[in-house]
Parts: sequence; structure tokens; C-alpha cells
Amino acid sequence: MISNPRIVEIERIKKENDDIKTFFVRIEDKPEPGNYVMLWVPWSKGKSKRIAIEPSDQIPISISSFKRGKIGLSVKNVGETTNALHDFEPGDRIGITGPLGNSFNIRGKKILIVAGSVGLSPLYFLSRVASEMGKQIYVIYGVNSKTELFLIKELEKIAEDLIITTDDGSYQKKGCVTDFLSDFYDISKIDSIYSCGPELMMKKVLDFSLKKNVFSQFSLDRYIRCGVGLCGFCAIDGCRVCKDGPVFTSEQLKGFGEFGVVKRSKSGGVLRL
Amino acid sequence: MGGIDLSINICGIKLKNPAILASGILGCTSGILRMAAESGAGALTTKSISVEERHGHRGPILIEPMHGVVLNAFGLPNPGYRAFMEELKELEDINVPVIPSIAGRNYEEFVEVSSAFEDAGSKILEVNISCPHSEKGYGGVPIIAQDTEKTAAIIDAVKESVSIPIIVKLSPNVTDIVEFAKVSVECGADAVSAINTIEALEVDPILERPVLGNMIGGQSGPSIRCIAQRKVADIAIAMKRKEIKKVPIIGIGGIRSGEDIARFLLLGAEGVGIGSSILYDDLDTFDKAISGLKDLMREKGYKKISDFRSNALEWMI
Repeated sequence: MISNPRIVEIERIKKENDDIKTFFVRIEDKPEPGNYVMLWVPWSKGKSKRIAIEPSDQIPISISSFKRGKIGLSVKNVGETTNALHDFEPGDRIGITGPLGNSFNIRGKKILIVAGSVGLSPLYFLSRVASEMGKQIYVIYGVNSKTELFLIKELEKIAEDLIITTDDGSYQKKGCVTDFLSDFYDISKIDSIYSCGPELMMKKVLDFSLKKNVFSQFSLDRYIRCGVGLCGFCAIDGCRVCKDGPVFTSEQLKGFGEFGVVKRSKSGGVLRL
Repeated sequence: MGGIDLSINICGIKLKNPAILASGILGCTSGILRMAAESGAGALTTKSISVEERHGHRGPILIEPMHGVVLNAFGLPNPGYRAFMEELKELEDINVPVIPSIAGRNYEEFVEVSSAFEDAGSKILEVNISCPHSEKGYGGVPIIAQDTEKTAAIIDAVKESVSIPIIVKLSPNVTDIVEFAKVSVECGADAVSAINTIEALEVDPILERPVLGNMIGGQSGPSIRCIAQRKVADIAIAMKRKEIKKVPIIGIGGIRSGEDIARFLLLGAEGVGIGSSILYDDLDTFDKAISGLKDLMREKGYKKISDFRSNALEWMI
């Protein structure tokens, strides 16, 4: 059996910043860091009445935490579905398919997290699990501007060191995460790198990790539709991000001609990054 | 070793084995099609390609309400033939035949897409007139493959404009599939494939609404295999009885194992399409099914597929 959308109640909602809310829902299967769910918002707002003219789409959302049977889904308000979801209240129902996809392989003692924007979500889950395993966590986290930051207090609790970069210099260091990668890496003697964020950022992290020959994994974003490897729309080279991923190693990515170059549109057409 | 020949021939195209990747599954990007080719499939049918790009329906686009009951409403998403030609170019070096599947809203669109594929060097086409949910939502309007006149108009137009063989994909959502097979063949279809998905619907009792984003969809998977077998047999029997000119039939519907492939071949199919079963064994489905078929043939002492094709059909005539 594949996983079907299971209808669950939103138990709690945490406002992270102006654009991001974390929705906590109960699921049956224990997720691993790196897993995602297909989130289905079956109407635009309300309890159980059809208000929307059309149902919203189903979208992939990385799991950002797991505690006592409940997953956290940190959702940025960027499109139709996420916009509808942001109006929801605790007690409202949504559909969850999953957990789906593969997961991060936590290796070494000192791990470096390189996150961009809402790409922090799966890496925050990874950091928590790794921290519980006794690993030392180092974090470089970049956003465009201070208002986009989230989970900072939580990260401060678990990270040995945390560098925050903003493109506009509105918080801590001005610049992008990759500007600080090399120094941070050398000082902290890192064993492994985990990255998620804009693909061009991850491409730079990939180049760095290949140069340093350090174990690294990346969580990729593609237009995921069926979530179970059947439709093929989330393809990157010969892999399906929904089923073979979303986590890929540097060894896999270096052989991908499409990584950091093209994505696929909703119709499967080529989109230059 | 074993000396078992699994090869088949569909309209002059030689396939190393009868297991074809069915349309709609995976076949949209060159990378994924290449992966499917390496998985052991005898041929690859692409996603149905239209003139303009289509985004397809909203999610959920695929659910499995009960084991073996697969419902989808993808909505023919594809990048349009111009963009898709670039994907096909990347596949020139693979040694597995690629069967472009074409879709359209009217005969002009079918003609435009089929001509483009012929010009690009395709050797055969599948004409998909039978997607049960290509238009949005619950329309209640018959699709092309539910109307003999529309079916005839599309096939006539495509046959007049291309000289490569065409496979017409038939709908099970008709009273008599034989009537549609007959019309198709009379209009010049060089082969038929059957069946497309069966019209279906699932409702969530808590949400009190249909589950698929498009509300209605098509059922596939192991649950439809016996229905597909019946439809294939109906067409094959009509051909045996010479009520229809004999053309190759590609049997599709819930095929998962070597035994399943054998069942369709025993009912007279030339080859088979495999799609939804990839959910269960992923791309190993092809290797597993092909070696299963080989084992079965070895056990029965068959050297080639024609040694047993149509054997089950003989009981019914």
C-alpha cells in the first residue's frame, strides 16, 4: 500500500515570523530527518464546509521536528496552497501523506549545517536528532533579511556555534552563507556537511565539499506531484526527488547534469535556474 | 542458456521482450526514460504529449484507497511537443524503442503532434483518445474514445497525415469495446492497446468530499487486471472470428508479474503495458516480470512466445 492522504487535525500553530508558521499534527509513522509529507489543503478556510471554489493543490513540505507523535511543518506563505493554510486555526483539518522520501545519514562527530531561507526546516529536525545522539552541531544560516529568520532561539540551544548571514546586513553578518563556509570549516574541523536552501547556494556548498572531500548531503526541491515515484515529474537526471530523494549525497550530485542548472516546471518542461 | 526467445514484433518494430512501459508513468523526461530503459523494459511509451504544455490537475493526483486499487487524475501534464522533442533527442542512443503517446482536443491537434513526431524520426505512435479525466472536474461529456464518430475522425486524420504505424489506446468505459476496436482498425489503426483506466471516484467520509484534486479519475493497478483481460479477450475473439481485421493488441491493466504477462499473451495479446505496478516493485518490476515469464516458459517447455500465444483464447471460441 502506498500512503494516502490521512485527515488530521491541526493541534497547534506557532507563528515563526511574518511569513512562516509551524503547524503541528499527529502522525502514525515515526519520521526520520530528511523525510517530507505531501500536505493537502482540501479547502480554503473553515472547519468542514466547502468554501473554496476549487481544492488546493498537494505540496511537499519537509518535516522540521518530531516530538511525542507530532510532526512540525514549517510552512512559508508563498503560493495558493500555503496562503490558504496560513488562514487555518487549531482544530481545522488537513490531509497528510507520508512520511515520504529518504533521510539524512548522520555521520561523524562534528556536523555542519548550511541552510538558506526556509531550507532550514529539514536541517533543524536533523540538528535536533544529531544533538540527541551527542554530535556537535555547527550552523551557518542565511536569509535575505532579518525578518525571514526563524528557529534562531532553538538553534542557539543546540549549536556549538551559529553564524547568521543576511544579504542586506540587517542581522549579524552581511553576505551569503558560502562566504563564511571555508573559515568556519577550517576552524571547526568538520566531519560532515548537510545543506538545504536555494539550489545555487547548495551548488556552491557541493563544490566546496567536493574540494574538501568531506561527506555531504543535500535536500533538494523539485515540483513533487504523486510523491510515490510514479509520475516522474520531480526528475533530476535519472532520479526522482520524491522517492530516490529528496536527500542526495555529493557523490550523486556531482554526476547530475541538471543540479544547479535546471528545474522542471509543473508541465515537466525545463526551467533554467 | 535456456534458449528462450522473448522477442515480439509490433508493426515491424522488434522488441526484445513484450513488457512495455505504459503511457502516463514516468515517461516525461529523458533522464527518467533512460532509467526505465535500463530497467529491462522492451519498449517505452512516453507520457501523452499535446500541442501546448499542460499543467495537469491539482493534487492529490494519485491515491490507493484499497490495496491494488490505484486511482489517478494526472490530467495529461506534459511540456508540449516542441519542448518534449528536446527530451527525445537525448534518447537517440538507447537501444529500446520509444513509442511517443499523443493527445489532443481535436483532430487538428492530433495531426500536428503526430506529424511532428514522424518528422523527428519516431517509428511508431500511440494515439491516446481514452484518458477518462483529461478535462477538468466532473463534466459528464463523453471523451473521444466513447464516441465512434469522434474516434473515427481522429484516426482518419492521423492516418492521412503520417505514414508510420499507429497504436490506438482504447477505453474500457464503453458498452462494447469491440465496436471501438473495429472502428479503429477500419480507420487504419495498425495496432490497439487496451485498456486505459476505468472511470472511478473516491470520497473522504470525514471531509465529505472527493479525494482526488480533480474529483474524478481513473482506476488502474492489480484490481483491474481481470477486467482488462476480459476486454482484450473480447477484441482478440472478434479478430479470430474475422469480425475485425487482425492487428496486434497490447494488453494493459494491473500487470505485475511474469504470470500476469503470460495471461495476456494467452488471450492473444502481442505485448503488454506495465504501469501502476511500478508502485510496488519500483523499476525492478520489469526485470522481475521478465524473468518470471522466462521461468514459466522454461517450465512449460516453450522456446518463444508464439508457442503459446492465444492458447487460452482457444477455449472461448
